Amino acid sequence: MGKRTGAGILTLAMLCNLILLPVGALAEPVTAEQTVQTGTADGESGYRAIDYDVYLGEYSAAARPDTSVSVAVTEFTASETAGAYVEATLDGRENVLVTGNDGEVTWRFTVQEEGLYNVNLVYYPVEGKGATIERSLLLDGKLPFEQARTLSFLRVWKDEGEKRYDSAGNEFRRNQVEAPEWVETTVSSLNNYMDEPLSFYLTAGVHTLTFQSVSEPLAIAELTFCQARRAPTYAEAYAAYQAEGYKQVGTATAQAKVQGEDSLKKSSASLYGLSDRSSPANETYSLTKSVLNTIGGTGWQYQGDWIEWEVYAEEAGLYKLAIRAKQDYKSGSFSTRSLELNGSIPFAEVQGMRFSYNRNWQLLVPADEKGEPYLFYLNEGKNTVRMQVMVGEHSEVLRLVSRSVTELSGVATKITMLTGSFPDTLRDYELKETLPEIFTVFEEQMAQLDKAGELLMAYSGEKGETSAALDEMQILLELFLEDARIIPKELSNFKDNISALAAWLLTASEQPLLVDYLTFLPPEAELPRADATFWEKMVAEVKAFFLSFVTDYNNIANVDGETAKNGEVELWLAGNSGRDQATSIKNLADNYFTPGHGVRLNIRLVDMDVLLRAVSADQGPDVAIFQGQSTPINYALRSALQDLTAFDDLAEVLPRFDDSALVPLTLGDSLYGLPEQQTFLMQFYRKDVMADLGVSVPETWTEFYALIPIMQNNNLRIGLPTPFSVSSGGSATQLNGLYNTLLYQNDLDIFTENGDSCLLGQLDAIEVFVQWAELYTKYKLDKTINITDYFRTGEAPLVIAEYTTYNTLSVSAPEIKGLWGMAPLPGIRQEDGSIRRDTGSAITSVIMFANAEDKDASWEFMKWWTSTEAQTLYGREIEAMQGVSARYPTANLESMQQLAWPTEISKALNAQWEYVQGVPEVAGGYYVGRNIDNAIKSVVNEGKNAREIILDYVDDINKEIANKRKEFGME
Amino acid sequence: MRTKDDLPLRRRGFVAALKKDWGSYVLVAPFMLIFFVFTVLPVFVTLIISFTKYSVLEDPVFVGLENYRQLFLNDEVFAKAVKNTLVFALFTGPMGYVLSFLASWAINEVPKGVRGFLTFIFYIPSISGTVYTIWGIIFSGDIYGYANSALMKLRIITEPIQWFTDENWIMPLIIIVQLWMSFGTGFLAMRAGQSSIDMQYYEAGAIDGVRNRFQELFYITIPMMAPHLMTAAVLQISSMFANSTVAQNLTGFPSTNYAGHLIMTHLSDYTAIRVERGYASAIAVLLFFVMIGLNSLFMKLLRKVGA
Repeated sequence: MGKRTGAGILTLAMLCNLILLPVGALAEPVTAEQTVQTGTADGESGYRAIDYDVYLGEYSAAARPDTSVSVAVTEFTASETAGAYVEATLDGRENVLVTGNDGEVTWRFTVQEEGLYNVNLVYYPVEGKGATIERSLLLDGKLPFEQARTLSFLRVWKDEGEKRYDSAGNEFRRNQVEAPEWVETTVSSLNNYMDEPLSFYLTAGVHTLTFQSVSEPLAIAELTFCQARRAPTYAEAYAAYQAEGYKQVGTATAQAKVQGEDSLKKSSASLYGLSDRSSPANETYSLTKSVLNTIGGTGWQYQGDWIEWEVYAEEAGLYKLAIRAKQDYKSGSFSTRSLELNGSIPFAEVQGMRFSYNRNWQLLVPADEKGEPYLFYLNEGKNTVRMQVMVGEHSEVLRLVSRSVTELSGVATKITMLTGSFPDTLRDYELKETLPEIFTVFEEQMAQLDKAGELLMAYSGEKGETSAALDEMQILLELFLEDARIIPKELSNFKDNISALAAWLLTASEQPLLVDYLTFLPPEAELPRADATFWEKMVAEVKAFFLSFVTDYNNIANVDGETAKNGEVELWLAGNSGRDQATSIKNLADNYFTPGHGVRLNIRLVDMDVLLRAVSADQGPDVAIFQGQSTPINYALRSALQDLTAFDDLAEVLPRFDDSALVPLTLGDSLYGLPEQQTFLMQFYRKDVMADLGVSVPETWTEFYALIPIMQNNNLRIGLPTPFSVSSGGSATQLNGLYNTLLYQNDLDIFTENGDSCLLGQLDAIEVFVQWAELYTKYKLDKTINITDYFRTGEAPLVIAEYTTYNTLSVSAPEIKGLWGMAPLPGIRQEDGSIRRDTGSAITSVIMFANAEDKDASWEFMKWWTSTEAQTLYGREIEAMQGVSARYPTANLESMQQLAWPTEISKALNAQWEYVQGVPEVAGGYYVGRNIDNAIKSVVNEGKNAREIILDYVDDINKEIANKRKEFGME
Repeated sequence: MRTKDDLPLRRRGFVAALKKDWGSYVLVAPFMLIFFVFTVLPVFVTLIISFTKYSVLEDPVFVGLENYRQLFLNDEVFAKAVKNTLVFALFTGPMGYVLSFLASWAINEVPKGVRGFLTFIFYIPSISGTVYTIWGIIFSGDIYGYANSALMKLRIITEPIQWFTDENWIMPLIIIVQLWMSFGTGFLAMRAGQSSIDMQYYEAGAIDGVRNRFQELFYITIPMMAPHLMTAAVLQISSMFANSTVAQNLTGFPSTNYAGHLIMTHLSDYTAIRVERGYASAIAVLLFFVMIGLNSLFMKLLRKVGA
């Protein structure tokens, strides 16, 4: 490892800093008038584009020409990987362009009139992996503003088939399937807290427009630069009603009603019927059975998500609308929805319908200020109604705060880079001289937050917890402006406040709403009751209490009429994996497994502590799923498991998995389970911060080591997995992931071939142990680090972590969406120039017990469960239910490609997977993790000599292995 | 004066005794049955299993005293666990006991309304189950743990201390946490004992020449509340040996170089991870006898106080 290279890069980085800072300082005073202008010129200059609000501000004087510019979609140039082609016909449209999930497509077009345009797009959500379609939009080869980096195009979903009930009469949640159709939309961003479509500034002349694929394929039929259509006001719409001669419906009984759960289409697979028992006035209410009687809830809270229903009107004419809904999720706030009738917004007033917080069910009747209900025109027969989540009046506040968060985080990082995470409180850093620009940012953000606070007050009429985060930040900024010397002292407080603001943003932008039904009534008709009376509720609750003694809620019942001609399988799964998982597996099995195989599946959720006892008492299940890495061999050594090599068709099943996933399940020539999940380490990096530093993701360890001083000189951190597998509450049975990565890359094994001794005490392995320990001792990398927090603030722009960290990050840190990526681990360059990036992996598996009653049926289930079809369906189901945070890390290679990973991430994962190794399990293997853990702790915490200490611990391991082998009669 | 009934009763012994008080025996039978099946029987079964090799999934194999031989002569970790347990028990047992007593004594001196409140405050850590996990946050190993963050701000340390994984800190920390939680049922028993003593005794004592509060304590309070003290002691002794969840959950299982390894932790290591129930039973049997011995020792001690 060359010290000189390191030093060279280091000087370079410092130079970069020197150059960057004054530029920022100069850029600011110029735009004193536009308050939102500053701050973007520095810090974010490298990777981030400017904010949309700033962009709009710059062109606020520009015209909005009425001419429209059509882009000829079939005349395109595409990059090699784009896989773009022209399809002659697709679902009724001719000559459309289909773009793949990778690469980019570019069009040329000529603008006549200079000005701001919206983009109108007609697209078709081509079947892919079921994820949201995402594209980056570039104008003339570059991002016009940051929000154009990820534009989302929603898919269309529906419930599959007819309503289904189990033998007890409980309604099943139906599967969600895609129902693709041509969608016309005006391009807008779903994460800029704004309902208005995006505007793009174009000069007269020739331009290029580029769509870069982030994820999923997309078909495009039309692409037009034009002005977005404006909905008429109610007065205009009413005048139109009269001009058309529409009459109010007089028949008092006429009613066009639809139940919320009976939706026609929706934008997300998470929008399915829900069971709500909170009021006996719910339509379809049962005390004993579970009925799906509502829709929405917390699944329906993100901007842009919509649900569409079909209502049937006996009579054409003007109706008033009543929506029975409940918003008891966000106290002191409201959820906003817009309404579309037969494909268009009838009038602007229903674009921002407010559903205020109330613990009871409410009946919302859209009406004007005087309380006069708005009238809607329905055709005779079928009409469609669509409700969509809007940001509504929150928009301005959210945008102000969101910008503040970005600006202030930039400042926080800058200060940290100067002072370190723990500034010397006695030292004067002379921030006024070194970072003068931050004070302008403080002043502007003070003003912005002040404005945001006032707006908030105006909505809710009270100062509550909603504005606490804002207030605190304002006080802090005021202090900072008064006396710059306290900034270092209050730095961590400042950062905490930024996180609090970001967290507030996240919750404030959510707009959940539960809908029971929508009904169109004659204007003169009486409204139905919104909620049951107190007594009705009480009677229902008392009944429910007594019924709870006789109703079995735990058994996941069977669908009626399924015959189990080929036997039954009893399946156990750990109670902590949750009821959602169990229901979903049951659901899938009933739909796809039982019919084809004639085997019925009985699922029980149990605490896995019971498993051992149950098995020993011969009361155990036939099959258990989601079993940890070491469980199968532990049971197998005690002859409790069925050896799968007994089944003839095993060879057909094995190619589904990477060989590495089978290693922990293998003992000698026998195989004791099939893998279902497999996880391993990956590198996560912040594109923006790394670009600002002028460094790239390390490919080899040499590069990695060179990066450490650069990071540290900028007071940034590198996040490694903790060397202690046993931290609070944990238990060490596995070998540390980073350690086995280093071992495998050096071509070393952990155990001998037959597992009779541990090889970590050999000379080469000792050197690897030393190398691992030195990361923490010599290079002083953090031993424990909260990856999510450090990564989102950019304090740790490079992190090595399990790849499932992706899920956590995409859910809990939406503000850095598109600004981070994943890459394979650093490796060791081989003589032929290739890089060896090996790493160990962890699996969960499905196992069959030796005393299973029906082994063939159980084997059928195991084969089905690990199949591509079942794994993909399950992965999608669980993600639809619980969101991206539950993305399923399947071990099935084919299925992995079908899950909703963005293209770039998927490529990185595949690249790493080629190098993944399996960590073998041996008798007494649990002793390895434990002893290595103790060894590294002695070195890292107590400063003991790594070379000396490791040998003692390996001796200990070998003693235990020998003991256990004797116990199991393996010698 | 003897009645006629007394003599034959002594002679006929057990059966007659049963006959005489049969009603009481019937009433106590349901409890005794459950007590026997779920408490007495398992103790004997454990004793038997401790002479075997038993992995639950396979049948036990008789090995005689092999487990005990291993335990005493060949298990270094056990030796360490015994040492740790002694240290842990010494601090949390007697010290927790004395602290409980002093606290309840002190509380007794304050006005009535405040008394209830203070009792509640002291008692609350032990009823709230897993509340000790806040210590995990306070002594978290990263730079944002409260303790680390405060010490780093004060420039006492420059690198975060890995509190619960650093051998030097494990024992002191789990003792502190355990002490914090030790105001449990025993403490309540003492509070009850103290508040039930009639003020007349103190008045009488004052007339008879008690000169200060300590004399009051030794000659009146302690003897008067002996049964309560006994209850508290029994509870304390079993808890000081049986408490391992706190240590286990905070320091990990097993802790760094077994620095926080207690006999109970050793036992669960052999039951849960290594699945050697025979060996684990041997440990349990040993612990059982140690506890019985300590209980009887304490009873003798207590009888001497104030006698």
